Amino acid sequence: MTNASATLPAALAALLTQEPARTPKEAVLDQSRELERFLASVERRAFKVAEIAVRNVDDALDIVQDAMLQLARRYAGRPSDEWTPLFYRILNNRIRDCQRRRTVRSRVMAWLPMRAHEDEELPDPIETAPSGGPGPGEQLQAEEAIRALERAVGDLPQRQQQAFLLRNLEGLDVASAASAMGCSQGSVKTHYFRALQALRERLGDFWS
Amino acid sequence: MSTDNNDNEILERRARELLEESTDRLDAGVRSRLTRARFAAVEEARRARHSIAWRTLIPAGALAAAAVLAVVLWTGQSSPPAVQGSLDDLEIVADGENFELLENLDFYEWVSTQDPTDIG
Repeated sequence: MTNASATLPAALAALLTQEPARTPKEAVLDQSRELERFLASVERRAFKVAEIAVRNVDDALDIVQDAMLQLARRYAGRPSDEWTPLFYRILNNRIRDCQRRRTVRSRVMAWLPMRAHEDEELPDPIETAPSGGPGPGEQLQAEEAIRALERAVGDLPQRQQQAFLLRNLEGLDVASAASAMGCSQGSVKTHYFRALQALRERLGDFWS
Repeated sequence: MSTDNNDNEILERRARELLEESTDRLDAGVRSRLTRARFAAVEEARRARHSIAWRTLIPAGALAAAAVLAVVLWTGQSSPPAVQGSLDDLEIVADGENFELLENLDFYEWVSTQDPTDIG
């Protein structure tokens, strides 16, 4: 009885202070705004993740667009704090699909004599070759460092690359990265550590 | 070991700075396509939500209609004598030979209220 009398005013106060119920139309608008904010906050980094992985701007844009549509179609109704790992999981799946398609295509192309030595997807070796020395200005140095880093990250094994980009670029914690990658937190730590070791060996000159 | 950790921290920090700088430098064409993709996704979410609402409303409406039909049929089955009685009354009233009964309706109503033992 005492408990009931103590909780009743609290419940009444909560009822009085709570916001008025939203209409269904307002709820749809709120969700749309929240989804748009979320996508705006991740789209550039997601593009960068895809671009580093597939090394092609158009493919990377298609991958990001697919991932956005898939998230909107299937998971927009989920709580917004679940969106980040879900989005990156979809993104990683799309990247993997793209890489698989390319592997199949390159195998088929290898059988064709006229196209055996053509591969438009590979980066130009002259353009991507490391420069012999620092550029004329700070801007050029930064661009050079970015290109070197992106190439090095792109050359990492897929899981290491995912772990590195999700943790370092997207800033996900280990649990969210594990959810995005569909593996254990221990695996994320291992992949991330190996990625750091590989990058240190590859990029030592840029960090000294 | 601590040197390794220190080197890793330097690498992580520098890599983060460079990658963020790289995302900030995306050209206008890429940014525009990303914006269009975002708008398309938001529109898709809105459409998916409406379609979910319809997918929920249609079975719910069908269920409600089925429930109403079931109630109507059930109540109809439970009261056939009443319907039958009403039809019999209608037949008596509509029959041309019973106009006399209609003319003396007040009398018959009074008779029905009397105690049968008192009559006669």
